[in-house]
Amino acid sequence: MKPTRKNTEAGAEWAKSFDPGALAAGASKQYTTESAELRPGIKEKGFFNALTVVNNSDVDIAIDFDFNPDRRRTVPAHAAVPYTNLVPYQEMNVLNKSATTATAAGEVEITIRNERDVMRRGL
Amino acid sequence: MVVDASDMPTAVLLETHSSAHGDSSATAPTDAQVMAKVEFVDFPIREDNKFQIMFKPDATVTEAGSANAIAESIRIPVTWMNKEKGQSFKKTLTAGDFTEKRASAASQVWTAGQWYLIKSLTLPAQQALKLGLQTFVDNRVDPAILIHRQVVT
Repeated sequence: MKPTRKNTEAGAEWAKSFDPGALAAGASKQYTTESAELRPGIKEKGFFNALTVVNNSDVDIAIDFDFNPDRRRTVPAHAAVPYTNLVPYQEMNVLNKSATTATAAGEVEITIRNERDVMRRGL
Repeated sequence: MVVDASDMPTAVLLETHSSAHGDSSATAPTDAQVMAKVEFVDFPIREDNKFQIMFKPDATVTEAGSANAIAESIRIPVTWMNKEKGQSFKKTLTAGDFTEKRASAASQVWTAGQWYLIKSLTLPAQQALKLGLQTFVDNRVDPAILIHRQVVT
């Protein structure tokens, strides 16, 4: 495998995608600063400020930044939503909002990013 | 913990284990002398910032389908400051001072190892608080802290 110059998406300083796996109805999965998925980004950038969720499941998925329901972003079923310029976050709760339907592994993809400020990027 | 007006965490003031708050005993202790004590934390929570309580259960708890909520007892000693008057006083926050963020609910599940935001207090204009007391008359009573919620499982 050839090494790439920078292991990030365009416009992102740091990015990583991961699959939260199967989520039972009403269940949630939490990612802390100690999680293998988040820790490298925290170590390098300190925080994340952008997020993309591809939700191909039959249920609505909610992301609670820093485990705070007041900072909830809801991704409807069979939708992909990008969020940028978010208030910085370091941790998150991924919640299956359905009371009856579970999600399967591979149906949800979460991409966390640390992006440079739009102004400083000169756009 | 402390979050700013955007709900972004800015500081953790104290983290204690539930064993310091009556553990899984059915009823909350009422004698302040046997409660855990809190040190003065010199970190001001200013206006519009929020003082929040989070809970991470050691074991999964499922509340009963009915008559699940029994009682809640909160006692948090703080130093409250009136910035406009330049005056501070000692105050004990109780459950009524906070906004409920995750109340007891029938059949509600609290999963082991997951963080839950349970209480939030937004500081009013020109007010600030610091956790704990700088001085006290009785060190067995004044700095006693208790966060206890009793539910039926």
